[in-house]
Amino acid sequence: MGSLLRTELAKQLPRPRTWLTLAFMAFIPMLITVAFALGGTAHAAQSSIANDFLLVATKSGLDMPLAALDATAPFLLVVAASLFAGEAITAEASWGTLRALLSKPISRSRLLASKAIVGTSLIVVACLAVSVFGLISGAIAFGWHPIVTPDAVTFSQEATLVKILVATLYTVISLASLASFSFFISTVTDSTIGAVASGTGLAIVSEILDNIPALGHLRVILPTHYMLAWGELFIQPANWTPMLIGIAVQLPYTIIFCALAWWWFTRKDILS
Amino acid sequence: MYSIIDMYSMQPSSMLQALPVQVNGLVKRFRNGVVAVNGLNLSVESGQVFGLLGLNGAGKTTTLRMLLGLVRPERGIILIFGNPVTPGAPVLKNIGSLIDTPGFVPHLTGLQNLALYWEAAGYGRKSPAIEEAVVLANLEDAIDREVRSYSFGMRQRLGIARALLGSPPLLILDEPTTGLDPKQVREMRSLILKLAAQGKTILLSSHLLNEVEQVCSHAAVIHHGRIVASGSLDDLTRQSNMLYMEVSNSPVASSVLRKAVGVISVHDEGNGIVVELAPWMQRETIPRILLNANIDMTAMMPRRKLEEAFLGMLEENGAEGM
Repeated sequence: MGSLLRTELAKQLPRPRTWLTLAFMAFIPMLITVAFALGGTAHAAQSSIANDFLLVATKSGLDMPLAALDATAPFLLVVAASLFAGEAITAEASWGTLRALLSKPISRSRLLASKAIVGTSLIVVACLAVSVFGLISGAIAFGWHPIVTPDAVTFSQEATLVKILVATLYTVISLASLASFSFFISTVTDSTIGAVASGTGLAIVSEILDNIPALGHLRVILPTHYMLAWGELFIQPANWTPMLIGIAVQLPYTIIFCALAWWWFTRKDILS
Repeated sequence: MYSIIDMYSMQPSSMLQALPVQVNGLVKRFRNGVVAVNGLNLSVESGQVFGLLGLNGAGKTTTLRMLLGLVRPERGIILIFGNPVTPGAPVLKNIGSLIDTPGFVPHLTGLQNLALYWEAAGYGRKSPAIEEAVVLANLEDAIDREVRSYSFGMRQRLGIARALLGSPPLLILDEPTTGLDPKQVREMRSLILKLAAQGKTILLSSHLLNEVEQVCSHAAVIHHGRIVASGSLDDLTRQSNMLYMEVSNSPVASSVLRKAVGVISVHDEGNGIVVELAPWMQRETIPRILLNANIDMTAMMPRRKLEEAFLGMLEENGAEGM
């Protein structure tokens, strides 16, 4: 397993698409910072507590990673996660290296596991890139002050840093169902675009359904419903329940899609 | 004392004593209903260079993929050195393979590709086996370049180098000369013969009969997923109404034979002559005719090109479009 992990990392890390995606994820929070620095704070009505950070983004540099997570999670991070997960098998198939690898005594389960681990690691790095570069650019532009939420609750810099870390890790978890869906599709198809589009498409469908009030409580099982639930960390006292429900929703999707990926890949005829 | 390559290929003797390839009743039907392989039986003995011949779509590549555990058979038994093949089976370490156009990670160098492949297979990234394979495939000059800059021929050679890593005793090569220019074809042929001389068992598929004729000791003809003929090349080309013979006086012999009843044509070839007989004509009649004309005969053998044999077999088995 160790050798498969090392070889997978050695393949993925030098890839231009890896660096371009991560660089883009680092660039977006800086772009948002510049936009806020030039344009001031937003005034429009927001739909969640996480969205509220767009209202106070210029008050402290520590608001910026939260505003960046809020802005990127529903789409850009979904695309990045779908890319890292969806290319796992399709890239090998399109290079023609999959048949060479699997014609040696290499366990398909281990190969799949190594790709899942490396893909997940890259998704973590992408989410961290958003937070870290949001933090750096925010601190430079708006200073290192305690944050004051729109509800006038103040959090110290240290407490905010911990909450940013939790929010970032929660964002990773909230992408798990979409990424694992792309991962599963990557074992079924040889088309990278198809695998990447599947995760993004699932997110779009989920968002559309989430905006139909008639669905009522059914919306809570949608994979993107609790994506911004980390905003509840910034009320006093913090409300962990939406995040825990969000994790509970992600878990069965992720397990099912990963199990399907394993089931399919270990039985698949390698024709590419 | 073993060389580095020998050490990699050392296996328990009982294992290597078994047939390198033994296939019985192999059947593969794809989800779309296409039966690619239909009751295929095949044996390849140690040291043979075995050609799997067939038209496009005959089932060659599917068969080779099943031998490598890439495709699951619906029915049948595949034994490699006496061990059943399943996906990822340990016995696969004894096989080096080149299936279709060899693929590589484009943004890595040839050397990095080989090293990562070898490491993924459970060996060290800095193994001497890699250097050995690079030298054997004649790739030293290009090995540090990114694969995306390789020509087709270089990729093919890198594919061969990958197949040769660790000097496996069995090589499975799918259309190894496809896409190569004449010079590269000659180099590939020479490499295959060199590997054969080292005692490797080589199973290669091809529809280029000329290539098979020049490198293979044995062959099987596959048609509609079945083996329709198998044996040494001599066996496959034996049943023929063409005879090659070397005689003491070729011009006189040609003249005599042209007048004989049952002889359709006579022409010179190399040091001898080739005689085409009518189907009802007994071969044994020819030496008597020459003897009566006081012509000595030093050699007589069936003369049939593999191509003729191949096409004849397909015709007998009802190939479409023949």
